[in-house]
Amino acid sequence: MTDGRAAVGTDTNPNWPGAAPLAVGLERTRVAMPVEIDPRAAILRNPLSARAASFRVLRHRLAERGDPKVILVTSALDGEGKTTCALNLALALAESGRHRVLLLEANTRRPALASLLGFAPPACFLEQLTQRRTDPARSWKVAQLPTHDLDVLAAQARSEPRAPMHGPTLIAALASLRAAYDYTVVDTSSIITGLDVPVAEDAADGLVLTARTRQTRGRDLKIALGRVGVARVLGVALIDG
Amino acid sequence: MIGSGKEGWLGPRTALLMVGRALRTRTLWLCLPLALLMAAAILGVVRPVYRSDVVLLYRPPPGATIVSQTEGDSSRQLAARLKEMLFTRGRLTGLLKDLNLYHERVTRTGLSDAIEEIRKHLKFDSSGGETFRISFEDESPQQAQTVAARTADILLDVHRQWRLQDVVNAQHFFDVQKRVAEDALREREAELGKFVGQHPEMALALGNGPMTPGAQLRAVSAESRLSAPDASVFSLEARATRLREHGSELPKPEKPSAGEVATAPLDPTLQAEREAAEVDLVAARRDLAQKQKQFTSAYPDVRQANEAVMAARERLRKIDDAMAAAKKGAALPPSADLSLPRPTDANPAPDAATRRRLAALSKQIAQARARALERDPKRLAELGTQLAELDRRASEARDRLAVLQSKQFQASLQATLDLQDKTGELVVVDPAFLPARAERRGRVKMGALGAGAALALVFGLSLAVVFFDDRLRAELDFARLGLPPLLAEVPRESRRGRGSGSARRRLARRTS
Repeated sequence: MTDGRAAVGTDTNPNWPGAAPLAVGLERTRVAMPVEIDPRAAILRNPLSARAASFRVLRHRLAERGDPKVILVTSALDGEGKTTCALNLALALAESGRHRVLLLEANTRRPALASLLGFAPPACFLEQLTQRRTDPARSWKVAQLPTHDLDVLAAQARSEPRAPMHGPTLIAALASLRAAYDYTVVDTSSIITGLDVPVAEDAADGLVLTARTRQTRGRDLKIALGRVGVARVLGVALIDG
Repeated sequence: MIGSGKEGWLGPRTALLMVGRALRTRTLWLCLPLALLMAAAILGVVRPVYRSDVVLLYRPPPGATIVSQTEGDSSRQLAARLKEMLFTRGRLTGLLKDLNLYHERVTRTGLSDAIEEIRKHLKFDSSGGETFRISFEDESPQQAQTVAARTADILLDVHRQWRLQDVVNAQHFFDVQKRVAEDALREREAELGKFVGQHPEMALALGNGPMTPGAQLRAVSAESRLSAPDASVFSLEARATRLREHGSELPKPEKPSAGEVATAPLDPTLQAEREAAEVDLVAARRDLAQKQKQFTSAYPDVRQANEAVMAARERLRKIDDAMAAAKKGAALPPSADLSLPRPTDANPAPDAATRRRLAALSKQIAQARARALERDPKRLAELGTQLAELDRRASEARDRLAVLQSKQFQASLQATLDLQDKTGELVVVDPAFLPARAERRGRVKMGALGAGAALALVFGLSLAVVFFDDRLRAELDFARLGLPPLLAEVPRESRRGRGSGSARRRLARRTS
């Protein structure tokens, strides 16, 4: 399913240069980027800025820490830069053009990725996940950013609250996507206020916590650490502003 | 390095970072003006303080260098003693009551508290020289002047009384010691005189001291105690006896009358009296000689010693008369008092030629006895040792007496000066003045202290805020709070889209 406003093309069997054919079905829809890019997308908006460079540093640090393929980005509380960090990390991973990178929004409480990038997702990831419970062979409908070779599986915002994600289905989905992409960056809800992290944690190679400078308290971060497997925590990205 | 997470948060670098962070906190800069305003307000509330001084000069008395030690020592000791005397509770209580100082405090919290208060404001400074400064601070300039002046008066009075008491005590002490020393000397010289009287041949060993003539004269009386009498000694002694009794060696033919009894032997009592009188005479002469060495003949001690010599001589003469009378068979009247000199002398003194001959005979007797003693070396050694011991003890007693006499003289001199009020060791050279201006130093000090305290308080507050604030700001906080390592520090988006200078510098450090 494509959106006439945002989708500019569909590729059902993409072949990245030098990559093996995908084992999982993907329907990639190229979406148009808005003229005014959100300031949070630092690498898109100003790729030479210090802020953009710091996300490249984050990419480098993760490579030093075992080069995790499925990275869960979360935080202790809401509003501490999870989506910002996940988007920029995914862009940093994808900007070399040598890796297949997927940005996946597994946030049932407050999805914001689509609005941040300024497009309507071809299909809501959460709905696709629900559909895959009955039809596991169903193809993923992903949005493809035109400027960077980055696929996005975003969720659509809804006024009514969503049910938590089904854990085994999410794990199976991430496992299938792991085969299709070199890196999968998962933007989830916060640990203390949301329910998504414990479900998605087992399918990830590591967790990156985000914290807001002069806002996030150490005790909240400790509470969050107490609710996840500390061994999976790769570190903290401290975001100013 | 970011992500290491190994740095201990108590390290010096961490402490410096915390201090730097405390200096950058808003708390500090918000509270600082308030604290300074508070310090200024305190400074405005503090009432001005006036100070009045009195400068005292310690002027050593004329005999100070004789009586006491060096001037520096004495002024330092004096300063310490004056300070102690001034700050005693009794004197401060008197001062409080006389001038009605700190009345409110006395009635509210008691006298002890008021004394502590006056001790805070009263100062006694000694620069190490001979001047002392008493200063008093008060909110009233008149009060400051009055208290300073009164304190100086108290100090002068106390010092004067103290000196008088010291002098009187010293004089009394030296008097007692001198009497003891005189008794001791008298005893030693009596022992020596007795020894020489018993062994006149040993008198030569004493040299030409004042003991020699008397000892030689007593050679006759010792003849019976010689262990080995010699004929020549007896012969010489007989000649000497005749010479003394008759003025000639040849006895004058005497025709006793019918009613006259034969010449009686010498009375032992008179003999003992005579020996004692000789000893006294010798001691008196020695005393006189000692005093004449130290003082002029007009000095009372010298006059007294001279009178003692005259009295001893007179007593000896009386005994000689009594002995002569006894030899002639005339009994002394029962009421005769040997201790009083007779107004007239019935037995005229021998002439000069007789005295010379008598002295020569005595010398010959002593030499003859010495020769006799030389035949018995053991006895000679014993006597020599005994004589040296007695002479040494007598010399020691004389030296001690001489020292005590000197000290007594100095004490007497000091007492005379004190009684004539000519001491004046402590005088006021700069009396208490009425201060016209308040002490600025106190206000500046107070203001500086207030500002410093305010700064310290505010800085401590901001440091505490930083320390207990667990909001994450930098890598330091991750190590401090035991959190997972910091992977990246994402700076704020700059307005120009290039990031701030500090962010770029941090980034350059992280990526290098």
